Amino acid sequence: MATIWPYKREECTEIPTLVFNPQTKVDFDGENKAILTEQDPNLTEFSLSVPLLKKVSNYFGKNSKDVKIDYCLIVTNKQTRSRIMHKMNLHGSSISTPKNIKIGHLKGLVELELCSVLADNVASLTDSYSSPAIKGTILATWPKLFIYLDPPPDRAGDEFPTEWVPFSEIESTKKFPKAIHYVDFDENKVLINDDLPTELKNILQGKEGGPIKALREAYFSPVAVDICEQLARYALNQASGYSGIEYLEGHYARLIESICTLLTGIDNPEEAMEELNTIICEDSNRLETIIASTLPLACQQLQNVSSNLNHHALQWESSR
Amino acid sequence: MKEKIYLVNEDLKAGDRYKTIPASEILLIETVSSADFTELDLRQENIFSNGLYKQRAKIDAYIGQHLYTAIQNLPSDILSNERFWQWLSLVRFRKLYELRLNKPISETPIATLLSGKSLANQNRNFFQRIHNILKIAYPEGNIEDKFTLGKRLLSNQDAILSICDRELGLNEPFIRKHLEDISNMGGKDTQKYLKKLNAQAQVFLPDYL
Repeated sequence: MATIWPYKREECTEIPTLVFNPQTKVDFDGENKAILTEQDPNLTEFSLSVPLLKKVSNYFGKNSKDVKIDYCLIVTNKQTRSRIMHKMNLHGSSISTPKNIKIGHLKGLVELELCSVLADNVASLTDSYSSPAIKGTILATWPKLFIYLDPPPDRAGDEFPTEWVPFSEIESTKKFPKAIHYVDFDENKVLINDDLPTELKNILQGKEGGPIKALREAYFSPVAVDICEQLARYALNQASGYSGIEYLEGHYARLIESICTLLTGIDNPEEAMEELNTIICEDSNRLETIIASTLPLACQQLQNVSSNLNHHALQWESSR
Repeated sequence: MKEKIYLVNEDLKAGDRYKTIPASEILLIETVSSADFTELDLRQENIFSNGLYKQRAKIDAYIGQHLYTAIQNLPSDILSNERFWQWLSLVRFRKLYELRLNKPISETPIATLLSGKSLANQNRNFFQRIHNILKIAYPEGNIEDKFTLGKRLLSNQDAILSICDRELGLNEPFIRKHLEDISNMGGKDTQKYLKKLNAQAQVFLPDYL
């Protein structure tokens, strides 16, 4: 009962649309990351809109007159310790920011979270006694959006660049000619073996879509998981040596932040970080167990391997 | 008397430069902003001349109000610049800051001296930490309670860390409602209480509570 709507919060998958002022040049990285490449901070502003969630709008049905729902956008900028909540406007079947939101005074990364909440306490609904009734209850959330006011240092591959090099020519790899990849922690690089057979390299280095792309992703998925595991293990050991997660920086800090809930089994990221830090500082046995047993699973989960591979499996299935 | 505010104008992290460089050699850049540190200077003098507060933890409560009052009106651009806190700790009030540290500068974790961009690192520098919590307690800078709440908060390091290290701490109006209770709690109770608030914030939008 606790897992189906209306008892569970609705997690909408529709990604809200971000529109910036014409003077701001934006490079979209994926669907939810906007990187500002050119801007005049005095003018930088955005608007946001998204189609209305049917389940939330329909849920209270005939009781909708008794129930008021607010749609809220939370704009957070950790670097300036700023957090502002904006109420959204409802226009027909979509919700949008009532006016453009200025962000030129903020720094670094701006995080946008959209949710719908109960605007008031609900007295009693005769036909849905278990429905949310307390003011402020979050009814639905949308995917988080990120605006990078400066180009982020950690855009995919930037901080840990990948380089094709002949393993036969590198001191640390020359005895392993059949290996595919090597994480070089001294140079902060992932090396891929350029000595691999040509046919295999053609697939790995190719840009073709379709079945070749599926094959390429199938080859690279376990590599990505392994790299993720190596980096996370390195970060945890470093944190243990430094006596705390807080001294991790850059890529390592972000990786641990993204994997901490999986490593600790605690859903709340902040509590998970706190717990992980306590383990690192005070419980070396548990840390060893986490690194040995939980970390490999967590990295597979984080990289979403089975879903990615299944996507190709489904396509193959439908084309048969 | 108002004086100019400066920012450190070099990367003190590079090669762990912060560990060895004397204050007089740190490159600075002048800003257009200014602040009056007279009262804070006086407190600093008292600490050293009268041997006040040999207990490091009490220094925060002793200087807090005067530090906060001096800088609270600075533009957010400066207050969110780690190089301002570097100037304040490693140059302008270096002697006081060194006294507050547990270890010599060369053995002190980098974020405690140089601040940082993450919420936790912004809360490692002692001066910045004082500002972070007092900004929540006294948003307009009106200290009408003879600094009673401020003193209690600054004597409860667990409260400062539990609140200002967390994203929940950015929701100032919400946290403010709980500050009075938190300030009277011990370390473990504070952490428990904050965990509870955090859990609440997963279910409810705190702005509505």
